[in-house]
Amino acid sequence: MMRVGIFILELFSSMAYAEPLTISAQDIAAKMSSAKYSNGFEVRMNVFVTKANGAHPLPMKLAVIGQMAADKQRLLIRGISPKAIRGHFVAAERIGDVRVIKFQTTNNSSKLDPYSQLFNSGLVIWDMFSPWWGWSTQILQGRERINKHECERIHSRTNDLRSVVQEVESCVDIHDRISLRTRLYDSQHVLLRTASVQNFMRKSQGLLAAKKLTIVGADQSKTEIEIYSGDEEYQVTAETFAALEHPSRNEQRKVR
Amino acid sequence: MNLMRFALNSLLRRPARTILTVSAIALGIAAIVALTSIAWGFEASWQKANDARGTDLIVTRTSSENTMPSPFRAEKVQVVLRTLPHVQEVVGLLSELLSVSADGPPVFVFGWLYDSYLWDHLKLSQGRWPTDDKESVVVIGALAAEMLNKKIGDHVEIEGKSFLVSGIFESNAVVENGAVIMTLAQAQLVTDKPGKVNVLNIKVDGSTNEADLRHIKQQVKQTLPGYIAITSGELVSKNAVVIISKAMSSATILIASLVGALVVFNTMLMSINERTREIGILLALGWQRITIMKLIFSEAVMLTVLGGMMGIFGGVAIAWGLEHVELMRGKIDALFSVPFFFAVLGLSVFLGICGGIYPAYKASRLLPSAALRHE
Repeated sequence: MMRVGIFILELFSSMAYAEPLTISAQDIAAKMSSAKYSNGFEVRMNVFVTKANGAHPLPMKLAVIGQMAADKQRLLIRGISPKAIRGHFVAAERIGDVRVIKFQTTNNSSKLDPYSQLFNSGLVIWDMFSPWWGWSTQILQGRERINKHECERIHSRTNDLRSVVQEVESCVDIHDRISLRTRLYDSQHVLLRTASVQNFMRKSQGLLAAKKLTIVGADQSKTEIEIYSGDEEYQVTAETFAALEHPSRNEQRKVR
Repeated sequence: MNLMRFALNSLLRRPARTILTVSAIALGIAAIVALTSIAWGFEASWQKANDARGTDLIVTRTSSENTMPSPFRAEKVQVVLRTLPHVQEVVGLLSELLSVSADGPPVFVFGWLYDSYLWDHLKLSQGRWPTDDKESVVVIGALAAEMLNKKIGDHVEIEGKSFLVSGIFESNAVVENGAVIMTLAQAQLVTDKPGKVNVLNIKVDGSTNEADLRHIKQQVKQTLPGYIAITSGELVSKNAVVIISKAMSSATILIASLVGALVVFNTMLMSINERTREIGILLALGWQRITIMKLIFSEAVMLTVLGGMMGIFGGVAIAWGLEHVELMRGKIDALFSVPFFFAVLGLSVFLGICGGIYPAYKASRLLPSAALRHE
């Protein structure tokens, strides 16, 4: 009797697991790209960094303002606290493959590699645009369960040899259009960093967004990010991305 | 010797088991008392804060179920609301849970429209109110002042901007007592939400009755898609934190009740097995089966009454302790009442009766001859 029960349980669990996926990897990638479209949003976050040697720099508060459309995406990351980063900001834009980046401190502005770490944390501005969803190669790799959420593993690869990140492995909750875990690799398939979502919040349109996530670097440094405030209908004005309008030539960089 | 004394002596003869059983029941009841009083208190405190402000209706986004409703641009909504019948004032409010010191816990930061009726119910105990909405000052609740260790003339840093503490106030609502309040304009500036509010507070004129309020709600629904007009009680009951805390409280009641009934059941069943000969002797002496049942029920009820009373004291102590934990101070205000304590005690007795039914029945069905042969 017990064996029959176990058999039925196994049957049901395997049926649930093997439910055929009616959506292709390309479709999921397209949905993930469109999920971030917004006329304007702002999130404020607490950022706690643990360096590879165990040191803890002062916790930071950052504000991220974004405007995301299919043809043009803009981000402004502004330091709120501590004093050392107050008034500092990074402005970035993505039109197709091109990104213009400006890093402004209190006294001067300079160019910034889009792959460099922001404010000495695990945050990388290139990752924040998640450009891999636009790459031509998207392959489904099976299903996984992370934090009680079913997700589809998708392998994204680029042919552009100039890109520091060559492969990305995401585990996507298709229903809520959120990647629960993202692993970024270089051309030698060396893991650069892993971003994992620990906690969620429900957006007004019903989809989930990350409330708490952790980025672990190749050197095992850890950046914990917690969203404490958000505005899904941030009013983007002419001044919001003014830094991107007329950047000096040496502040521009073209990155694929 | 009466039945109750007999039952009491039976329990006292096995002190270790009695203490363990009472402790298990007390723990369950304490969890129920603490969680339920905090869930109710949280709801009551927010409602008290809204009621104390004199707000009759609150307009917010329909999708707002978070602790702080989603911000929205107030201007257009305000214009529509002001045209509705009986509406006297429409006042915006912006609130966030923010950290105001490097090492302190986050506190509620409210932005209230300068010189609006929202400020009227607060009692200023020290200092002064903001003089206009351009002044970078805050007033802080008495509890917040204590928690943040701030006095008049000190500064607090909110979202990277320094604010002078110009006054300390007192409010009936613990949520406000533990909060930092600034003018709406300053709150919008510091949180980068120009022109935005979380909620709009509506104050109606004195002639408004329940039907008029229902009519206003209906009007808002029709003329402002995506927005809802509700009473403060309705807003609080929609709040995700209130819903979760109530669900946790209900789950605790269910689990604690099951565990409590099983503990009593187990204890009484063991007791009967050990006392088979004793029960046989009582039956042989002429005790009626109903008297045996009463004896078992009396013991079960005694255990649960004692456990229930200890649990109530324990629950009050836990809630009091949680109120004073640094992270929770100013955010919860456990709500107790005599009817609630009686209800909990009633639940405890009910558990005793439920747990005692089968053991009592089993004891009463014993045959004296078989019971006397029992080793």
